[in-house]
Amino acid sequence: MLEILIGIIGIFVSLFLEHFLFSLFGFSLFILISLNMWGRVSNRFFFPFFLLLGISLDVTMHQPIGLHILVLGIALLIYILFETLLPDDNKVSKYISMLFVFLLFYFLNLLLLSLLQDGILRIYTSEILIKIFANSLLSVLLSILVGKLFSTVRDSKSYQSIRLK
Amino acid sequence: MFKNFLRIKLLQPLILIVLGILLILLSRSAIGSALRVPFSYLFEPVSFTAQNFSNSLSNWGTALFDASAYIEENEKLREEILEIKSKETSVINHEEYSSLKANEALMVTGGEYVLSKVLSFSQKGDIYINTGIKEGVKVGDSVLLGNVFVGIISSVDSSGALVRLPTNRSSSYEVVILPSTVNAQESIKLDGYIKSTAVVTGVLEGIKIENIGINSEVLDGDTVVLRDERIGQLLIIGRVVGLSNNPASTSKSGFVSPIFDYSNLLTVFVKIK
Repeated sequence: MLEILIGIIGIFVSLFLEHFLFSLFGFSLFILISLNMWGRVSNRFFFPFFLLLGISLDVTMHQPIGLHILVLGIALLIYILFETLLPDDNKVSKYISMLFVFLLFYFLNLLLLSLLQDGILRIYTSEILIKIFANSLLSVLLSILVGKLFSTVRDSKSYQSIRLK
Repeated sequence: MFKNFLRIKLLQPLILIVLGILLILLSRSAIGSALRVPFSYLFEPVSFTAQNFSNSLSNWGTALFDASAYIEENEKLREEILEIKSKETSVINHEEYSSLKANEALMVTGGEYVLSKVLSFSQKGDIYINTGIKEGVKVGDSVLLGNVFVGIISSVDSSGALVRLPTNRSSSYEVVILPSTVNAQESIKLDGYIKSTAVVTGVLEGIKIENIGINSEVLDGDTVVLRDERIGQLLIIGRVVGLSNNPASTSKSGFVSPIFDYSNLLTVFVKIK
């Protein structure tokens, strides 16, 4: 019951912040939250939450329904492949793979939007590329902060339990 | 069993990809538009509020950054207002009303129009307006301001719609070119004035005009008027600029300078009938 309530409030808050930040800087909170919540919350919460958030973002941003979910799926698949291939104990490699995933998300989002909505390939100007890189870099920095925050309150091996010392 | 199935890590994003593809296919069918309505009804007020907040914050940021220019402009406007007030008081009181009436006077008669506010502009060549299914707007309706063409409705929700501008790379229209001296607003027979037919397409740099007859006497500054079966009425797009002068080519091409900057649009009209 509590999870449902958190989920509903979370969707409204995330939607508000996503629109606010996206129209101001072109920054996407959706991929930042999803990548940081990945593995930290149960699948029972993760799937319905991001499915509903993705659809509502597609509808309110006037994009084809399913675009956010598809791009998130591809980004997570690449992230898992990176996690499998790169060493586990190295945090730098983790954040480099995160940077790559964020870049991929922004890049794919624009490309697929253009392709599905207008049937044309998107042209990436230097201005767009700089914006994508800056937003991805900011997302990685925020992910580092989130990681630090989590490690102070939660056990590093299991995010289900609170750290006592 | 489903819980165990979900525990396989690589399968989770694959499920999302399959779901995404299914939803995209679904959104292309009739069920897709039905699916949009409840979501837009629930979440569009949130998105409107967030966008309004970000717009006002952005405006404040720009204003603070460029404060000296704003102060200068404000002083000039105050002087102008004082001058107009001394001549006619009603102009100031009904400024917006007058501009709408002026638009109405220019509007092509014989149709039903919905007044819409522009909520956002996308560099891709789209604008988002605040009218949708509730107001009778549907995909393919033409959007105009006075007798100037703004775009076509490309997607519609319960209380909002996306307008594809002529600058969008997927936009392509048949047009005619008239001399700059002809007033296209007057109801005259335009056939005698047509210099050439052409095609306009949206490109990265703006609106490109192609297939202009090589022997036609088209000049920079001539008026580009939309004459496309999909729109069904004569509407102005802009003026010809940067006309090519290559004697080896079989047709002339150039660019169209729109009548107004699409990113500055505040109000538009959707022709629903």
